Amino acid sequence: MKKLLPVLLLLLAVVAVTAQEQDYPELIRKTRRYLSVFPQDNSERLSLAWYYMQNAQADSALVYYKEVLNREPANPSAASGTLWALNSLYRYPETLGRSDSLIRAFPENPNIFNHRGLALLQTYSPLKARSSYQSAAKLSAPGSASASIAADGLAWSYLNSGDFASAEHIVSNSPGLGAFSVVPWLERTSYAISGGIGYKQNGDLYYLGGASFRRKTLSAALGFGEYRYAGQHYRTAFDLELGKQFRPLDLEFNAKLLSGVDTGLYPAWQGGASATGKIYLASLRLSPLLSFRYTYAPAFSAAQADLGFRASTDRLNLLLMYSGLYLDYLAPGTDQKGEVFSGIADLRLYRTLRLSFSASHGDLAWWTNPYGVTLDSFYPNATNLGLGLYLPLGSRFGLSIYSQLGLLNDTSNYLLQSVLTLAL
Amino acid sequence: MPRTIPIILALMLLAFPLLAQRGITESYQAEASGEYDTALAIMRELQSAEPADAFYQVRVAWLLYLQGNYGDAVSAYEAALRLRDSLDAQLGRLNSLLALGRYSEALQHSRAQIRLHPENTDLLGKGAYSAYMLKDYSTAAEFFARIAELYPWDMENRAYLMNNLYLSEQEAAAREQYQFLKKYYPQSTLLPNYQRIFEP
Repeated sequence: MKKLLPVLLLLLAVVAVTAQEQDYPELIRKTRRYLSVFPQDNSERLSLAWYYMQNAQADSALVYYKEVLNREPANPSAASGTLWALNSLYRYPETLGRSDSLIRAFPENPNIFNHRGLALLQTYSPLKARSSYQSAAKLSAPGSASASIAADGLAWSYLNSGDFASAEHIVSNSPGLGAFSVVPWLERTSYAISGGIGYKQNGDLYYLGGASFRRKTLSAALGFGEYRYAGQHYRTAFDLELGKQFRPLDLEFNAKLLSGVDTGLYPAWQGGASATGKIYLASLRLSPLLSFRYTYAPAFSAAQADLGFRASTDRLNLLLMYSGLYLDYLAPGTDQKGEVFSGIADLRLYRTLRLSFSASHGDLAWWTNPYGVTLDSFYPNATNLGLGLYLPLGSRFGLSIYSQLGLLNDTSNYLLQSVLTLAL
Repeated sequence: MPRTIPIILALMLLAFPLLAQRGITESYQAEASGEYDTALAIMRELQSAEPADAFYQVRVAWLLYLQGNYGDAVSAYEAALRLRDSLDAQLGRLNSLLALGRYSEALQHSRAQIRLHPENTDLLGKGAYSAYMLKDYSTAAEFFARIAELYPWDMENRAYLMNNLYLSEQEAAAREQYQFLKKYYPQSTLLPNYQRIFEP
């Protein structure tokens, strides 16, 4: 969350420019003396709080903002100033606690929505932050500092929720956003590499590797997987994904090569495309998705069509998907149709620590799951139940642990997989 | 026929000043009844006929000020000063700057005029107000002290003097003024605030 510092800097820069260069310690001294004579002067008390904020003494400012609010409960500057000081002290939960009642009391004050937005961003709630910043943007006068902060916050909200296209749209429509805004972060190219290992109950091991990059709305990922059977090479998978985000929907194209010792199955080539929509309703994002895949192998070809729906909040992502499969074999009259029902519930437990439950049931042979993994087997489980945990390790590393229980007739099997990711 | 034309022309020429005189009276009447737009429109007509008339220009500036159009009033007073420097126009410009909250310029302007008119209490008072708004309490106290020297029984300004002396941390001098006010003008609205400080 260090990258949110620029939001605060923008806030401070805007007010600093407005206030121009001043000798704040001297102004503080004079205003304190003034208040010793005229303690009833709330306007000067607000000025004093402002000087303290400019002098990086948010704790002292908070005292005076609260004093004004106690004396004048209907003072909007004191109300928003209180939240501003709390945010500057990194006391985001307090900001959120106070902002609800302040929004009820001052429903037309855009600054309160802006401060609340920042606190939500800093507490891993970008969708709620988006909603708050959107309210601020509606209430702000065009061209005002509040409007600029709201636009920057909106862009941050989209960026933190992975919607780069909407963030870019906000930035391109807000020419006032400068160097202390989301812009450098949006334009920065990010890279990540990953490596992992999986273990199956029968003793098989597999190894995973990957590299990805993202620049603005473009993304690319390369994946590698080596499956070993009884200690011997069995199958290697290479895959490439290219993504491009647009405002109403995201497009993704992928190609995969599976190469292995079974000459009936490999080499298998796969190509696919998917489109995912984005609809925002307050702090909820709804994403219908549609995808197609086609696999060509020596003894068969497979086509898969998926229709899914994802509902996302800051705490929980839910995905439900239906897949229709058609396996076309060389031998006439042996083609098969199949269908798979799958779902994922992904819960944010604490900060970026996440727990996910997944389930899939149906004709899973050569089905590609929502994570992009193709079950390249003609003897798959009928049902797979998965439990995943994502553990952030510092600011750059992340560890994914996934365990799966497979059910087939009266038997069961399991696998365990772990992947370490490093953001560069 | 040829005689009548010069007579008519002569009468018209004589009537123009009378018309102008009537125009300015209407402008005063409109101002008195709060119709600043009408008063200004009349003055603009008069001014367009005599653009070098410094009084017309000052009056235009004054009416702009009354309208609340302080930015234009500053420019109009400056135009008037270019036609003829006068304390009226200087004070008018100063008032407009204060109304706009341009206290630094107002203080600078006051200082320059106070050098030329050191005993003008209007200038001293407005300069002191500018300084006070800039939290330059020692300068404000200095200006109020000069008013107090000129008019020792002006209790209102003396109360301001006490206030600015205290705020500029000249406590002994402020206490002296406090005692003075307590003795001669105990109803000063500022006294209770200082009573808490000087007689806790």
